[in-house]
Amino acid sequence: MESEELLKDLLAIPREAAFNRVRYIGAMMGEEEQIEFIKGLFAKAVESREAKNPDALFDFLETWEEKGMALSATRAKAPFELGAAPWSPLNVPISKAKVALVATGGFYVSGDEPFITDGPDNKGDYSFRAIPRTTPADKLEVFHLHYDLSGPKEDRNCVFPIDRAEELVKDGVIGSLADTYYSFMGFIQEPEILAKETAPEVARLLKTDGVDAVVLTAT
Amino acid sequence: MLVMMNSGLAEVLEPPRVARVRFPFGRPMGEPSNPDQSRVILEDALGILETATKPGTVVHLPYRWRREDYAQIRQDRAKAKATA
Repeated sequence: MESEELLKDLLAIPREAAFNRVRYIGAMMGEEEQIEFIKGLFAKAVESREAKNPDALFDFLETWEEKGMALSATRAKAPFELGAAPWSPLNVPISKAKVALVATGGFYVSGDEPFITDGPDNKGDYSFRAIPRTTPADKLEVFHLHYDLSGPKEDRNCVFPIDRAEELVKDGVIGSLADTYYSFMGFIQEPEILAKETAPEVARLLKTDGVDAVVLTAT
Repeated sequence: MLVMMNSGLAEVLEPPRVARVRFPFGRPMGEPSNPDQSRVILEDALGILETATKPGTVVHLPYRWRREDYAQIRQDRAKAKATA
């Protein structure tokens, strides 16, 4: 087998969540770096066994995941001119603020339309879904083809911290919560429409509801 | 206030306030069924909301995924709050 094929075979990494950051090494890095990674992985595995402590191996993996992610970011660019980062100061302490949650994970309430995760032209979906705050866990659905859904299907709070927010209100950390949260689905190939139409519409709805701050979680 | 995994994208997109976590994609608040972990992350995000003073603030949260005792972190916070 040619070395290029061999590397490809070695770095054909599964798609599950646990592997999703390390995948960048196979997808983004050149042959020399990939060989350095595999050699280092071998050395750290042995070192960790000798030390009876996996920390060195875990640190090694995380360092390389970070390298891969940094490499992917050098290829990323804003899809259009974004201008300076916007800023709205928080005018009340969190303990008095009304907080809303917005998640990009593809959530919708049972009976609503799921997101179009690819569409006929693979353009994704720039629309949003309203999620009432009191939606029970078994009525909150999630559909998205571009990340591992096993986490939010087991526990929505790993993406959409609805139950944690309730606890924080009860404990007096947050003043109050909005009655309605919102969800997007992060695979959006036409971000201009998101930026010009749907995101401002959600911002308007949040403002109308008297929301002081939003915690947005990206998948 | 945005909780996200991809630090490079945070730099490119410059959201006003970012809590950056070194967690797998699809798990911004931590592992499923680990309420202490998601609580710690949400508290940190809210803390950044209160303390950030300028747009483009990216705070890299230090947590090493499964290698932290999030219940202990919460206990320590409760103690610190009680003595404050």
